[in-house]
Amino acid sequence: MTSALRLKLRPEAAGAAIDALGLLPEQLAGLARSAVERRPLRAGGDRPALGDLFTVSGDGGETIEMEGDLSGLARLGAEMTRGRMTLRGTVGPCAGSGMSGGVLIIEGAAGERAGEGMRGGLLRIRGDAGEALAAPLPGRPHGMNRGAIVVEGSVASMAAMRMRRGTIVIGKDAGPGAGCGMLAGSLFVLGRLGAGAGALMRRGTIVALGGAQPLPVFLDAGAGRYSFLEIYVRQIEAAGIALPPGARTARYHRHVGDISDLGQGEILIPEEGA
Amino acid sequence: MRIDGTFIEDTFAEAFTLRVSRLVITADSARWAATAAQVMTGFATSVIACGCEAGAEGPVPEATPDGRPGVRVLLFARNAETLQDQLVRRVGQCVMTSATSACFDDLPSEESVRVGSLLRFFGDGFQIGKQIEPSLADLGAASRRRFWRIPVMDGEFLVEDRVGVRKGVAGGNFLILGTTPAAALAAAERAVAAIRAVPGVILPFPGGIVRSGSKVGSKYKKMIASTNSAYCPTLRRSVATELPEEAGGVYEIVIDGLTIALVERATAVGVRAACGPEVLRISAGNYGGKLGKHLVRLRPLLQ
Repeated sequence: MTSALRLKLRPEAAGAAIDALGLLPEQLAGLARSAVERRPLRAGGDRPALGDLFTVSGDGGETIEMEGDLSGLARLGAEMTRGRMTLRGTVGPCAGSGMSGGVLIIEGAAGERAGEGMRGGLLRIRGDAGEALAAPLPGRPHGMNRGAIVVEGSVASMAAMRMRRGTIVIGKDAGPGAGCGMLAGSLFVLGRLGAGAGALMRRGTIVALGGAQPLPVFLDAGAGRYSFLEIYVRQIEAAGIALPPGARTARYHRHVGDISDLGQGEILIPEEGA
Repeated sequence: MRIDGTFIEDTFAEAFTLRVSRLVITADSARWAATAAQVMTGFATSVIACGCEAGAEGPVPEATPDGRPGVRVLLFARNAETLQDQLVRRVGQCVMTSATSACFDDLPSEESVRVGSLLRFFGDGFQIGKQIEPSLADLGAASRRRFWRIPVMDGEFLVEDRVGVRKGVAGGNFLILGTTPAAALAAAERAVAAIRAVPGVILPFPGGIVRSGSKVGSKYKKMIASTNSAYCPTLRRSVATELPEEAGGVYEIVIDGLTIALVERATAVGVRAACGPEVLRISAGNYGGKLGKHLVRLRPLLQ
C-alpha cells in the first residue's frame, strides 16, 4: 500500500506560470518518489521536471497533498478521474477542469474557470472562486455536466454558465450572471444572488437563500414548500455549510423563466428574502 | 411444548421467495402519510389474485428523506416485471393522488424497476427531474439518486425515479386455534400488535389476520386454491379435520418479510403473544415441505 504523495512548491517557483495538467493521483499512483520527481511539467516553453519545482515526499498513491503559493499553477486536478487531491493554498485558473471523478479540495481560493466542463466527482473550495465557475470548456456548448462543487466563500461573475447537470453550492454571494443559459442542474447560493442571474435559462433550479432580484423575464408563480429542497438542505448541512436561519421552514417563491427562452427554469427565493 | 397453556404443534410454515420493494411514503402529517400507505396497500393480500402482497410496516421511520412524517411500505410480487407494474399503478393512483404526499425508495439495490420515470409523464411536460449527487461532503459508495417533481394541484409530487428490488420472503404463517372464534380473534389481535413492533415485515391481510385460510387445489378444476377445510369448524364432521373437539374458531397470521430471519422473528413474537387462556393450539400451514424454499419450524423458534 502506498502512502500519500506530498508536494511542496519550492519558494523559487512561486508565482511561475505552470501547467499542472497530468499531476493527478491516477497518473502518479504506484510510482516511486524518484519517478515522480522526473515527471515533466509545462512552464511556458520549458519542460521542467516536477522535482525542480516541488520538494517531494511519500510515494505516488491515490492521494496527493500539495502546498505553497499555487496561484501560478493552472489546471490543478484537471481531468481527474479518481483519488483525492488536497491543495493547501490559493490556486490558479482552471482547477478541476474536466474532472470526472475523485475529490479535489482547495484549502484556499481558486482562480477563474474552476470546475469548467466538470463531469463528475467533488470539487470543494474553502475560499472564494473566480469568474466562470463550472463554465463550458472552450468551444463546448454545455457547462458542468454532473458532479458537485461546493464553494465556501463567494464566487465572481458568470458561475454555472450553461450548466447541464450536477449540484453547485455557494456558501456566500454569487456575482452577476450566475446560472446564465442554464440547461438543468441545481445552483444553491446561500448569500446574495447577483444581478442578471438566470438570463436565457432554459431549465434548472437556482435557489437564492440570501435573496435576489430576479430579472423581469422571471415570473413569480407564488410561494410554496418543496419536498426536494430538504434532500439538498441535508446534504449541504452534512457538508458542514451553515444554512441561513429559516431556510428549512420557509416557503419559497418560485420565479419561472427565462420566458424569453424556454422558460422552464426556476429561481426559488425564501419568502422572507423575496 | 406449551406456552401459557397453549400447545405448540411440532410443525412448520412453508414460505416462498418473492421480489420485494420497500418505499417510504411521506406527507405533511402522519395521518396523511398513513392514509396514502393504507390506500396503496389495499387489495394486496395475495399474489394469487391481487398481483402483489403489500402492507405498511409497523415501526415508523425515525427519519425520512424530506424530513416529514412517513410510513414504510413493503410490496411483494412474483417477479420484477409484475412488481414494476404494481408499483406504478399503486403509487400513481394511490400515493400521487393523496394530499401532500411524496414517495421514496427505501431499499436501494443493484436491481431496480422504474416508477417515477414512468409516472413523470403525468406532468405533461412540466415535470422536473432532479439528479442528486451521493454527497457534497465526500464521495461515498452510494450512487446518484434521481427524483421527479410532478406538478399537482397542491404543489408538487416528489417521486423516486427507480425503486430497488431484492429477494424477499412471503408466506410465513401460523394458525391460532381457539375455543371460540372470539377467543381466537383476541389472540390473533395480540399477535398482530406484537408483530407490528418488528421492522421489515408486513401482515398483508385485513387487520393482519386471515379468516379464510386456503389449501392448494379444489374439487373445481378452475380453482387453484380453496377453503382450508381441515380447519373449518363447520366441516369437522365432513372432512378429515385438524381441529381438536374443543376448538371453535381458527385465525391465521400471514407474514411477509425482507429476510427469512425477520419472518422467523415475527413468527416467534406473534406466537408468544397469541398464547394464553382459551387458545388451544398453535399450528402452521405447509405443503409438506415440497413447494416453499423456506421452512419456518415453530418449536425451535420458541425454545
